[in-house]
Amino acid sequence: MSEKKKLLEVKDMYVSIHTDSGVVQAVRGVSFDLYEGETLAIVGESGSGKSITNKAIMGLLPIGGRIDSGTVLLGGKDITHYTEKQMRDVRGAEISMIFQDPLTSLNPTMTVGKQITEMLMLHKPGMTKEQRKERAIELLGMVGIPNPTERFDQYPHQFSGGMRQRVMISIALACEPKILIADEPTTALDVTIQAQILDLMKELQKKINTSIIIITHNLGVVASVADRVLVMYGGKFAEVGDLDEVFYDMKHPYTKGLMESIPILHSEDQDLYSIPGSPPDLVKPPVGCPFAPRCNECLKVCKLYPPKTHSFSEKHMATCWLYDERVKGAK
Amino acid sequence: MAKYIGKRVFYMIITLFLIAVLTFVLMKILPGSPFDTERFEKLTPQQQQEALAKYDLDKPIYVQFFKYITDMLKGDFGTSFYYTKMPVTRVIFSRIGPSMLVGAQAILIGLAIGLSLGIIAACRHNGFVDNLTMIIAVLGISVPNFVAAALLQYYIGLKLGWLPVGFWESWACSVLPSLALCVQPLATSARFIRAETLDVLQQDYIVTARSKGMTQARLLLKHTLRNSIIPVITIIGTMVVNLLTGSLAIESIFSIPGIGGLFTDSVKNNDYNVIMGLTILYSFMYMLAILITDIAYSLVDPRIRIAAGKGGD
Amino acid sequence: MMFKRKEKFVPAKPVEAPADLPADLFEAAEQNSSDLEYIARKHHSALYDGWIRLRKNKAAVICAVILIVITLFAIFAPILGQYTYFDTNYKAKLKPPSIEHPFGTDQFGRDQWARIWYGTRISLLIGLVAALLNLFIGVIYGAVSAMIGGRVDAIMQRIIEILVGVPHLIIVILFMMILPPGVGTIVIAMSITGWVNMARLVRAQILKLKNQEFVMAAKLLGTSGWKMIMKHLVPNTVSVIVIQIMFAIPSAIFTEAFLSFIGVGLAAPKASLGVLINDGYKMLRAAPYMLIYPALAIILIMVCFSILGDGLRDALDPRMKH
Repeated sequence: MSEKKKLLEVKDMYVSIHTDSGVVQAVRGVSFDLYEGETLAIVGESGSGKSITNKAIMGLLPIGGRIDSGTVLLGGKDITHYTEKQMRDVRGAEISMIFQDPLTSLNPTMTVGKQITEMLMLHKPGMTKEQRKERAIELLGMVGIPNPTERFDQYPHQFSGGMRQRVMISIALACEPKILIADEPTTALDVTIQAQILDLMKELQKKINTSIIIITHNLGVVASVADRVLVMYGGKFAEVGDLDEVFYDMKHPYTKGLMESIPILHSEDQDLYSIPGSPPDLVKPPVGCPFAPRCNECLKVCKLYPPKTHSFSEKHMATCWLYDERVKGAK
Repeated sequence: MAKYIGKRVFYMIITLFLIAVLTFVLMKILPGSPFDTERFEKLTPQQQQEALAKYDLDKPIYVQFFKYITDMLKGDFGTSFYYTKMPVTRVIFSRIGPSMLVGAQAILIGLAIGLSLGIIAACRHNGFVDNLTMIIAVLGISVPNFVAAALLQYYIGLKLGWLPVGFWESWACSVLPSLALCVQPLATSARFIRAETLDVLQQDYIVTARSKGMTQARLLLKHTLRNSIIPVITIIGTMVVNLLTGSLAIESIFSIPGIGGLFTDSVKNNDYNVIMGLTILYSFMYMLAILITDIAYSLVDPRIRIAAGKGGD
Repeated sequence: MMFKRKEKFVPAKPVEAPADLPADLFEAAEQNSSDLEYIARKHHSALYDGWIRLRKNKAAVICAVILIVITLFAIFAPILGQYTYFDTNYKAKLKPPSIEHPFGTDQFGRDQWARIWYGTRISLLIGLVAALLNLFIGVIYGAVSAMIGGRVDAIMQRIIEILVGVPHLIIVILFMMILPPGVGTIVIAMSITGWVNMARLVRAQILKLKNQEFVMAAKLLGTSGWKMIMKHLVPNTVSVIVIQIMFAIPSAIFTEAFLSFIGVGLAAPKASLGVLINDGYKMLRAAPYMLIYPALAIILIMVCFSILGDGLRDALDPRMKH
């Protein structure tokens, strides 16, 4: 691990969103690293703060959202204090994003070609108009769109959902960014298309050596693409580790619950497990562990104080009271 | 597309026909027809018969109606009672110019100011311009245009004497009425583009555009306004319609020799033929404005344009 | 959505657990299963939620209060005042505003205070009755069209498509010319095409609801048609209707004022705000206050309805725009 370069370091980030109905403390002290060439999956239910964390990294929080504290180091530089102008050179060129719903993430009144060449125009000032068009057509071909030359002049609504997500990927990767943040890139797509898009992302990652942060609640997606997994719950991180560690040696009761809720084909047991209850209200976040009310291994202390983070290997960590040495029969 | 326009035109014709029926019926009911007078009573039955025959009034009602419709199709709405025997069509056509001038000025001023204000307001949401725009919009939509016109005439025309009022001689005379009429398009467009822009700013593709790392100016022009201005076309039809009716009061307040004032005067003077002619004309323009708006919108928005091009005809 | 920027929010840093925690805290906690079904934020009916949101909208609340005050004045001021709206007094004609006559007197010496409040009463009455009539016709038409569906719906919609092409104001003027002048005439004339919008909205809303899952579920569970209408369709359509009424009232007030202004509305000595504005306009040079006070009255009423209507729309149906 140590030979791999750290690309991105998020340290103790707090993000709040100010809305009509109160201040939502969406992210409460999240830290993680991203290494060169790897795929990190951030897993959690809706409202766990996984999307907001990544929007905060990009400086693209929704109206009323702000980073209250914490740092985001990109190549050693803290980008949370970058000016809007400095951020412009980060977005698209160094970090780019693709989003959940390919139907709404493309500008409906601009041709697909224009939306790709725009990215090139913004970050590759040396290219001529012809070169940009040529490159855009090449990109469209690269993401597997048939007849890219014709498709170049078409509008997003003339593409299917899966094709639009391919277009989004071609836009995001146009300037070969160091980091690609994919926010639920397959959730809105048909299952068969999902696999195609994931394969495409893996293939392109190898080609241009991009690191990927993939945000998802689908553990199947995680298993097929991720190198490392970060599990978030209630705006905090619950567990982080290599894919194998988290999948086969999970420590946090929430992770266990998630794994148990995966339907297994050909299983004798017909009942599908689901974690009872619903995620916490982050306007008034619980003082203790956010998962405590739903946890089947809950201790009295869990509801009173936030748990500490325990390391199980070089990369495998979990935030849970169960691993405190004072717990009888501590694991 | 052609099918859609065809369908709309078909409805337009039915509506116009119904309005023609209505005006015909009203003409029959309305008090004060030329044959209700004492003079007519004094004529001999023979003379009465001749007079009625002259206007086909002795024929069965459906024949009269048929004649009414065919005359109308020929552009013949009869003659004006008030403007001594002038054909209605000529009376109307002589009045269209000033109405068009004032109406066009009002819409252009209204759109120019309204759109600029609304866009700035949306970009500076909850800022000073936003609050100002909302106040202007609420006032502009709430203040009846004839009240605005009367107040403008009193304060700017009479008290301050900056602009001429009460006659129609030079371009300067068209300024105040245009201002009075522009209030509504201004308020409507400011409000509409503000809401539309705020909505677009929340769309996913704006986040995509922002994630590309572009300047605010580019984001606004290429991604936001492009999407928020297209729907403005949909309200222009309604604006024209409001202008048409708004001109009824405004033109008589400012003594503009236009069709709106003509309508109001004809109502006061019971000049039925002119009223009927104008009713048909207004209805026609009303429906035309809405139809053109719909077509224009479908031509500008690629989503509708291409869908229509594919599946339409 | 109104969102005021607040001072920088400082998140509460987590309380560090003290080192000397009692040992019994590390025992398994009892999980109360009923806690789990606790839903973080309370859920209310759409109307109740709307009411809560409306109360937060200060401008709308102020406008509602102003409208109530105006209504009270319109009801009681003409009764309690010492002058009537029709008594002439040629000794006191065209008197500018004074303590005796707060809004002055007109060219016949009639007290403008009494006339304006009386006019406001008539205008509000016309607005209300016209809106209710539109509501009545529109809701029945829309509901019948949506509930029956099929060919009936198709025919009813064609009729609407024909009617929307009719220029409302022009047709109203034509009807005003043949009907005898009076409040009833104005209301009837305005209702000839005025209900179309309401019918369209109600139909659209019911169709939308009809296809929604909870209504289908209710149907599958065997809820009777009548019960379903009362329990699901009515509450969900009410907000659309309330909003539409809030826009229909000022629109009717405006139309009446417009008709009276161009001389086909009410006739003297009856007064509505439109009649008063028309009178004031004729006397503009001699007695500008005769125009200004009724103009202010109608502007105030229109602005209040407009802000209250917007507030209600935002509160009841946040998705609806414009």
